[in-house]
Amino acid sequence: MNTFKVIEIIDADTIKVSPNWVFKERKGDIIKVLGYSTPAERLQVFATSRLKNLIYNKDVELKDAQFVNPESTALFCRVFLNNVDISKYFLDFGNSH
Amino acid sequence: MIKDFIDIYSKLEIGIISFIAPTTSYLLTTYMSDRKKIIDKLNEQQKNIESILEEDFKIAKETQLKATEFIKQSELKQKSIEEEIKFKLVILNFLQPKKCIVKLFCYLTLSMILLLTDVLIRGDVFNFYNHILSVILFSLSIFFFIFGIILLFRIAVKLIDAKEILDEELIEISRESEFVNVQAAK
Repeated sequence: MNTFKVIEIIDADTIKVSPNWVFKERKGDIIKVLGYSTPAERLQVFATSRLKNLIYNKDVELKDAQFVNPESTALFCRVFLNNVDISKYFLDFGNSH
Repeated sequence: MIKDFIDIYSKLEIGIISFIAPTTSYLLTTYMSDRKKIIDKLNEQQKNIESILEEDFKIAKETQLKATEFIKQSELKQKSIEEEIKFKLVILNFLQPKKCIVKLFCYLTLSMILLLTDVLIRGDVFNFYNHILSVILFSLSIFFFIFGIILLFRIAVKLIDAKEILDEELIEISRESEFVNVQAAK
């Protein structure tokens, strides 16, 4: 099982992980979390803080990965903490998928 | 009249002890194989939801953000999810196979022992006939039998609910397990 440590919370749905991920011959450390809508500007602080509280410095699993555009350096995927998809904790911001 | 009643009652009790209770015990162990995994998952969710709510209030206070509407809606949403989780946990925690089986067989066996003792006293086998003692033993036997039946009924009802919960959660787990894991760079 491949687990990644969350080393930085960049914004409401972007995180940095260690070690680097490898997917379709590309490598990187930036992850865009799938499963919930990015909140409105003034509510970003809630989502960012929630993300930090939930997964910062914790081991997570990354699943269902995809590249949304070919130039993107971030990998879009679902993030699982102790077998729970973390998007479940963001349902108040709306579902994106 | 009372003899016929004891006859029917003892047959009913034997039937339940030898057939219905073991079947229920078997169902409990069969359906509950994934119980632990799902209880852990639900506990984890519940724990995090509680901290989410606390954190939202803290941020709103610290940043003095005017997000009353969001906080209210978020609280409602998280609370309703939490309620659902609690409901599921109550059912799954009730159906602890060992606890249920021990309780069920204790009630039924005790009821059977009391009935047999009553039959011995009633038949004056040991020249020890005592009408009051016989009535007490018979009443206690019926009392424990009813407890056993109520427990059996509760287990059956909760098993139906638990089956729905487990199916729902297992579908989600199996859907999630189909997702391909991202590999770490070496």
